[in-house]
Amino acid sequence: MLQNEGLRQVHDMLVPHDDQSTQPSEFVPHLFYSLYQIRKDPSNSNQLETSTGFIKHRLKNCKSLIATNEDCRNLLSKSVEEWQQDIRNKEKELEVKRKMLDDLGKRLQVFKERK
Amino acid sequence: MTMASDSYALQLDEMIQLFQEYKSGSVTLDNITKLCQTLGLESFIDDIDAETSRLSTASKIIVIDIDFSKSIGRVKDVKLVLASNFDNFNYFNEPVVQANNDSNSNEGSNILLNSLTQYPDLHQFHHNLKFLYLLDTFSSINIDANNNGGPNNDGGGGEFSGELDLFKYFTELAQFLRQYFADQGAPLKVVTNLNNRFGIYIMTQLDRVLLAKITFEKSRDSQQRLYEYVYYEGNKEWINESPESFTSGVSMVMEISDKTNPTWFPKDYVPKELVLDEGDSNDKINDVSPNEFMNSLSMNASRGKFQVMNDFTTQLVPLRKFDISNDNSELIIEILRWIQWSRTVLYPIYKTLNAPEDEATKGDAGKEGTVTANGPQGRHGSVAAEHRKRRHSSKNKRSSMTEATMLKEEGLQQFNLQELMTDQDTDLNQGSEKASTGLLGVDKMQVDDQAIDDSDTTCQLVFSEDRVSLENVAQCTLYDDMAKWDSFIEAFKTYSI
Repeated sequence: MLQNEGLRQVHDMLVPHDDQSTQPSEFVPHLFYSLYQIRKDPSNSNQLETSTGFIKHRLKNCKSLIATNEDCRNLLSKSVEEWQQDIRNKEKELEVKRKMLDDLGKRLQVFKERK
Repeated sequence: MTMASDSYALQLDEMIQLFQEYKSGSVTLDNITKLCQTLGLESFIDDIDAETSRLSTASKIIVIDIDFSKSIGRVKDVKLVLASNFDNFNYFNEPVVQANNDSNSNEGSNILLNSLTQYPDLHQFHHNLKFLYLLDTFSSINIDANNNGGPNNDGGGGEFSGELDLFKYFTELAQFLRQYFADQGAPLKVVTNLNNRFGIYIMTQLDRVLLAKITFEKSRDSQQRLYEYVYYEGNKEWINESPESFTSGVSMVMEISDKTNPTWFPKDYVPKELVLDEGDSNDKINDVSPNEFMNSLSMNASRGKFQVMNDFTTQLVPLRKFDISNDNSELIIEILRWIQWSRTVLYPIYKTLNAPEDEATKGDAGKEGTVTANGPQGRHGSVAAEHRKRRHSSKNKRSSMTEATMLKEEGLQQFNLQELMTDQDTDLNQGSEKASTGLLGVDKMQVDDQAIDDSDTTCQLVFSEDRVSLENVAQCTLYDDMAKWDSFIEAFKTYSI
C-alpha cells in the first residue's frame, strides 16, 4: 500500500500483520493487559518493563530508521492535513504558472502576426 | 481484598479503563482474550479442530464460548451459558419485525456475535461484556461461595442472605414494564436490547421515538441494596418479592436518551438523591437556557402574537439519569410522562416564544423573573412522593401570580414584587392565599377578560411547568392525556402563525 520504502518499513514495525501467529500484539491492548497483570500481582513491579519491552524496542528501531532516512523525515514532518494543504498550494502555483505561460504564448503570437 | 481501596490500585484501574476506552484493539483472538482477562474473566483457548479455535471465558455465572475461524480470521459464533438455574437470558436484539409472531423468520440476532463481527474494533463487545460482568458480579446466587467477584466487588464482606439473579430479573423486567405501562394507560413500547446493546428500551408506541433506557449500574454506595421488585398485575403495583432477597452495590437506573436536546426537569421533580447524572446547567436549546429565558420573560410579556404570563414556580435543571431501584420504580412513569410532556408541549412553546424577535421585554424582567423562579423552592422537600404534592402547591402559587399581574395591569409596576410576596407570604400557607385574593377582589376570569381587552391581536398564554393555557381557547396540564396535549399544541400553532 505504501509506496515509500522507508514508510512501509515503519508501518510494518508498528502495525501488526494479518498472520497473528508470528506477530506480537497491538500496543494498546498489550499495555492495559500488562497493567492488569501488575494490578493482580503488585509485588512484581518490574513486570511492566519486561512485558512492554518489545514496544520500546520497536519504537527505538523506528526512531533510528527515521533518523537515518531523509525521505521518511521529510514525509513525516507534515500531518496529513498539512500535506493536503501543501498539495492545494502547489496546484495553485502550477495554475498561476500555466496562466503566465499562456499569456506569454499569446503575446508571442501577437508579435509574430505584426511581423 | 483491602488492595482495592488502595489508591495505587485505583489509579491502575483507571489507567486500564482509559486504555480500554481509547483502543480496545482490533477483533483478534489475542485481543479478545486480553480484554476478557483484564475484566477479570477466566479465559482459555481450545483448538476444536483444524479450522476452529474456541475461546471460553467465564466468571461466577457467565460462560461465553467464542468460536474463531482460523482460516478467515473471524469470529463465527458466540454462545452465552449461565451457570445458574436461570438459562433463558436474552442476549438477542429484539426481532426487527413487530406484531408478527412467526418467530423463526425474524428472530433477533445475537448481540455478542454482532459485536464481534459488525464493528472494526472491540469497543462494542467491551461495552456489552462489561454489562454481563456487572450482572455476574452483583447477582447473589449460591453457586460458588468462595468466588465473590473481581475488581468491581470492593464491598468487602459480600454477605448475601437471599438470592437475586440479575440475569433473571433483567429478563423479566421488560414484561413487568409492559404490564405496568398497559395498566397506566401509557402508550409506550418496551424493547429488550437494541442496536446490539443490552438494555431495556422504552419508546413511544406510535412513532417509535426512543425515550429512555433502563439498565443496571454499580451504585455509588456499595452498601445500597437492590431488592427484587416485581410488578403484580392483580394489585397493579410494584411489590418487593421477598425482603430477604437482595443484592448490594448495584442500582437499577433509567437513562434518558437525548439525541436532540437535554431534557429539563423542574428542580424537585425527582428527589435529589435519585438523580445520578445531572446534565450541564449551561446546556442550551437554541442558544438560550430555559432558565435564562424564563427570567427574561416578565410576568406579563409580549412575545409575537402572545401575551405571555410566566407562571413558572420552579427552576429547570437538565437531568439525564435516575436511580429507579426498589420502590422508586413508581417514578418510571412520572419521569416518562415528563419527558413526553416537555417534548410535546413545553419545547414547542419555548421554541416559538424564543424565536428571534425584538428583545424589548428583556429590560426590567430579570428581577421579577428571578423571584418567580426562586420563590417556591422552600416548599419543595425531597420526598419521593413530592411530585404529587407539587401540583397542588403550584396551584396556590398561580393565584399569587395572577394578582401580581393585576397589580401590573393596574399601573403599579413600581411595586417591588419581592416585597410584595414576602410581605404577604402567599406561597407559604393557604390561608393567606385566600386573604390576598380577597384583598384584591379579582379572579382568573377577569384577568382573561382584561387580556382580551388589551389588544385584539394578541392572545394570552399562561405558561408554567405543569400547565399551559391559551386564553379561553385551550389548556392542558401535565396530567392530562396526550391527545389533549396534541390538541393544545395544534391550537397554539394556529394562533402563532
